[in-house]
Amino acid sequence: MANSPSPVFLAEKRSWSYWFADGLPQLLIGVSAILFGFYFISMMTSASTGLVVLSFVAFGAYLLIQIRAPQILEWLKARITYPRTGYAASPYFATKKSVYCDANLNLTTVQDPNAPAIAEIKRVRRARNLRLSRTYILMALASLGLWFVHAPWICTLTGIVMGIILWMGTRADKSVSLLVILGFPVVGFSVGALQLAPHARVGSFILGVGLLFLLDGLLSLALYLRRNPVASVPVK
Amino acid sequence: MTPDLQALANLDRVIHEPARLMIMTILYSVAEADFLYLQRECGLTQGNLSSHLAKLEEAGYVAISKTFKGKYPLTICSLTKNGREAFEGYVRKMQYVAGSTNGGNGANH
Repeated sequence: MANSPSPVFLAEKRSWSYWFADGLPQLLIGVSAILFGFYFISMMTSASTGLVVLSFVAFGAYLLIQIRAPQILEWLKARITYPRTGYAASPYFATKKSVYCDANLNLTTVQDPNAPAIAEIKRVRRARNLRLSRTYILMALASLGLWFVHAPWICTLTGIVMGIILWMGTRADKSVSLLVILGFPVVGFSVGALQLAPHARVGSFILGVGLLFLLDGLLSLALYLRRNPVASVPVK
Repeated sequence: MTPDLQALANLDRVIHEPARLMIMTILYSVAEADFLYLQRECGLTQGNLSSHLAKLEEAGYVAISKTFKGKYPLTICSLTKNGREAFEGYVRKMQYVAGSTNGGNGANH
């Protein structure tokens, strides 16, 4: 009994999965990676003025997505997800915040990483944040090979290593699908087969990963809409 | 009454009801959720969920507010500070009871 997860832990885990169920976060990651990849490739290659302007527009859009990701997701979810399956506060953006209601029903956000007093929730959230941070750092380190090793096989190897790192970092939460994880080596192999210069390889790799997330997001969204075709009427 | 049994007698009856315990558990873990999400997670009917939420609101454990996300109206429920503390107190008491039971079993072996 002591080893079985508590209902609080399971509710927290379900709300985490719920955040990714509609595929919108994956779509946003995909779009931002494609924009950044495009910017990267066009800036690193001798391009025409028009392409340079376009690449700056892409970079601006990428920055906007990075800064406004919670608001963009909220906007999309308010139109697609909430009317169908309801609203739950994002555990992704609120892991270090607690929302309280005062006597006048005003929502107050309290910046307190230790807000949930139940040790299990605190431990789960801390472990998840640590695991995700570690995954991002290791993936960034793995991508260095694309810069410094000129042999084409490094792309496939980087794809395999990054896929393994991503799988290890996200398997507990299942926030990244198998399609993306298995797609990393495929992207790596494809970039290697193109025989590109190192700087172009990095951009192409980012672009490929973006397409992977975009595909995953579109598939998840299609499945979600198929499962929940009609928006529910909200209870007033 | 022994202090051990006193812990059971002092359990919060508002939270102790299974449906309300489900609602409190979900709200504790997600900070805030709307009526539809709670209904889907708990598997309760609209009427049932409404009446349980009304009781929790009456006890000062849950705050209910009507708002809009885009053009979609939402009935957002969240735990109040009192509700959060009451839930944590309830969990501690239940853990104490569960701990006593495990200890008792252990002593018999």
